[in-house]
Amino acid sequence: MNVLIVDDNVAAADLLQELLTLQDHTARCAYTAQQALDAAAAEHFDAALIDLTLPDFPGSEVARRLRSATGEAHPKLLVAISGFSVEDAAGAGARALFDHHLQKPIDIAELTAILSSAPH
Amino acid sequence: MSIDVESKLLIVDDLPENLLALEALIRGPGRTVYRATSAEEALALLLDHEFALAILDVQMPGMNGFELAELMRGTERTRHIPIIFVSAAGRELNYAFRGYESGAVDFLHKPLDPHAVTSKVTVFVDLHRHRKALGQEMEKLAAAHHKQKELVEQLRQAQRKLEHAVRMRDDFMSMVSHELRTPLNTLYLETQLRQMHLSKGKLESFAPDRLPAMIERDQRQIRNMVRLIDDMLDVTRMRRDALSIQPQPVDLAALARAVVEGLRQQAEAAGSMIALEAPGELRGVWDEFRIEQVLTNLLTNALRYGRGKPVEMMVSEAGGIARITVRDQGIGIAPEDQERIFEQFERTDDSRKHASGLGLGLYITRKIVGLHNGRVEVQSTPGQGALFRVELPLQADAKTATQARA
Repeated sequence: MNVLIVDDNVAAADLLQELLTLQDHTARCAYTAQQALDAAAAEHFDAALIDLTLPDFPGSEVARRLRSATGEAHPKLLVAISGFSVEDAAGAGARALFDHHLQKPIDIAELTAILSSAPH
Repeated sequence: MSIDVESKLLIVDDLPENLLALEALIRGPGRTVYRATSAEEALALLLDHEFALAILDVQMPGMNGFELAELMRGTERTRHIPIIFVSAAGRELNYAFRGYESGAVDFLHKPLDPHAVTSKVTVFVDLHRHRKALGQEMEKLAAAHHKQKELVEQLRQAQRKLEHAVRMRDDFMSMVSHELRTPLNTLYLETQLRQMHLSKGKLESFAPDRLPAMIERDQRQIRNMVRLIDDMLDVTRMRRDALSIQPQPVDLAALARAVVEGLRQQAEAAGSMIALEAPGELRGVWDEFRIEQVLTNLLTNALRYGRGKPVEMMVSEAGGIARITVRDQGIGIAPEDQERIFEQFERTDDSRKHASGLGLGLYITRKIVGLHNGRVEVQSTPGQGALFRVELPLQADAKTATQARA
């Protein structure tokens, strides 16, 4: 799978990229919301892992823009990452934009299970 | 119902011997009798006292009893006083008293029948005492009701305060755990990566030349977490006004050098550097640990918001005041935010989206500086960096936050 990692915490994003690469995925990092949108426009991704707290605008807004009017997303699989629990992280409207929600610290086994459950 | 009420009785007659005779008939326990020998005198007494009953002689020189009664009926204060007219029998009965319908009125005829006098007076006095006692009970009830309403309002306010405090605490806990999860995430990802390297036999990641950087990365995350926990506990203490300082002789210049050195790697990681200008020695009496916290907070902010440009710290002394300035060339602070940044994190909704950190560093800084009788201020133009200036008297008195606030 080709995965887009969106997190302004450079160390965490790079570590995640390395971990996914070791699991035979390909991954690219974006450190701002704008970088994420630019990357998604330029390249095909199967999944995006999006930190909800980004410096330029919220991760939920990134997800909103990645979804077309019909609700179909490019990339197909959107996973929210946040330090808050899924209940505290965002309103129901923003939650619905994501297929999954992962709370930090991220467990790679859990992330891998989500990625492998996605339709290719 | 208690009827421990004094009843004042007014008797009006132009002949003093009549007054004496009447008083002898009607006086008794719980009664005070006031005598007036003219209507004018009676009016003066009516102004000063609240009477249970007035006994008026009808025939008096000047203003007669009926005229006096009409005046009494025309005034709110005296309108409801029961009146007993004393008249020569058979002669004035054809007088129609116009106020008759507006209140209790009775007649006694001369020569006075002692039984008739005492029984009539007793009826009116009892009536007055009961009415009065009832009024007092009503007042007590109204006062109790008022007090109860006040208590309920106080309880409501206390409840609102408690609810606010609980909400604040919940928000705070939520923020703290969120902020802790960020360094924890990096640390956990590191360990998972190492585990994967190990399981795949990729031992080159653990080569001796790569270990120091690995340890430094881990320590940075751990320091972040320790600092978050310390900040959280400090704020908890400040909220209870329980933060105190223990001033000891300190060399501020040496302390500044040590703090700058301690942040060297963090500055490099931010692509920045810290230039320190300080005298060889600057001795004063402060809480060294707390002042170190102030310097660290200001420098960490300067690195965090300094856009990787050099940060300058200057330490100096003039007129018994130590001055510390920290200048960055970063994003700066909008004028409308320059006071707010010293407030403790209260509202979370917006900050959750944008802020990194707990937003407590400057709040703690100002509290600590205040405990040292000093002050901290900021000058900034957005986009052109910020200058924080701390002034500390060389000698700080030991005090608690409670005293500092007063």
